[in-house]
Amino acid sequence: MSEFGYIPDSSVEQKPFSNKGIFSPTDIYNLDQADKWTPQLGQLELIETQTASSDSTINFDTLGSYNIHFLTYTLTGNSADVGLFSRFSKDGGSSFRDSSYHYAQIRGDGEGGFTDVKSTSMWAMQLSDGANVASSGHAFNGYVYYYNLQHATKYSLNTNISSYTDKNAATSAMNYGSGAYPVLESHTALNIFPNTGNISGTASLYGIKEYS
Amino acid sequence: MKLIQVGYSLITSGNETQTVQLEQVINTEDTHILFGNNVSVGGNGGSLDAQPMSDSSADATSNIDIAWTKCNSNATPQQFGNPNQNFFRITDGQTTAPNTVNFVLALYGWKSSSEYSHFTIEATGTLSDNTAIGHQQGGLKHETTSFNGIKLATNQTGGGGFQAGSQFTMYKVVS
Repeated sequence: MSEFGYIPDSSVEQKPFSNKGIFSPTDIYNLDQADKWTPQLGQLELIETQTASSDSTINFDTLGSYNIHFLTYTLTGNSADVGLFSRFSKDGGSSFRDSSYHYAQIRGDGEGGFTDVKSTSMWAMQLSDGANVASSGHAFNGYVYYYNLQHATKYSLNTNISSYTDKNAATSAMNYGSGAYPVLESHTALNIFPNTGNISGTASLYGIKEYS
Repeated sequence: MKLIQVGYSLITSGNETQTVQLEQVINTEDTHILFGNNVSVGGNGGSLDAQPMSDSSADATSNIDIAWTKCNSNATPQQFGNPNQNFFRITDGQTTAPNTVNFVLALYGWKSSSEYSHFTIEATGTLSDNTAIGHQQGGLKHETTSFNGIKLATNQTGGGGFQAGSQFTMYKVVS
């Protein structure tokens, strides 16, 4: 008998992607609880999906325990000139950092205009800017990879890309680029929010797990 | 969509190295994604380059084309096109911790023996002055060789190259 009670002798080390033996449902449950069972649903793990309805922000107050997070969103709003931003919190979402963010992006529109948009002293990480999401059918859409959010000895970083309707013409627009919060602290929550007005729609936060 | 881990490498203290090889980890024609997390080097100024691998051999044929944009929170962005390379550059500007490079590299058609191998890269990091940088890239290798791995290398020799805590994880993307 091994620690978890399956057939192989106790010298077999059970770990993800290397499980050996014949397992009962109880064994599988116990191994899964010990993080030693090969995950059947993959390593992209949904943390939470939130639905906003004319809200000023979407807060994710639970981040799980991951080195890399993945956020997707599709959000309408009520402003014809608005951007979408993201901030970090170290107190579970009670307050959010509002300075010292860096971002570096390219913004393009459907009429062929491209500009660089950047800052070394921003009140949030920019995801989109100059959007019209007030009209029916128009929305912020995009995804963000966040890195090292929960590590006190590492800077929190992201890459992002978004698609939305340009504020000046009924053409598409996009932003892509990266961001950094070069302050050594552990974060326990993040949010996304428009700089004016409100948002409605859904956003989903995932953790990307890895096994050594 | 599911991500299934197929390869992993973590640099540990005392085992710093300039080269990481994930060999024989791509065994299907599914899209694969490689994440680089917390990648740092032992000196200021370093590049992170990659080559496809067949079993234990890296392919150094000069037939990789790449188009890329480099964003910087404190400088005008740069755009490059580099044909006929024998490697592709995931990022430059690598430096010492707590500044790190992090990236997602998507691999398309690498296992196929009838299609070219394509890739996209989204990288982020900070320079030694905390400036944020990012690389957004697309490229391909002009040959139909079936590849099943990847070689990652830094030219930074300080401290032995990639520092402890640098992590590379490969996933297969399945429905």
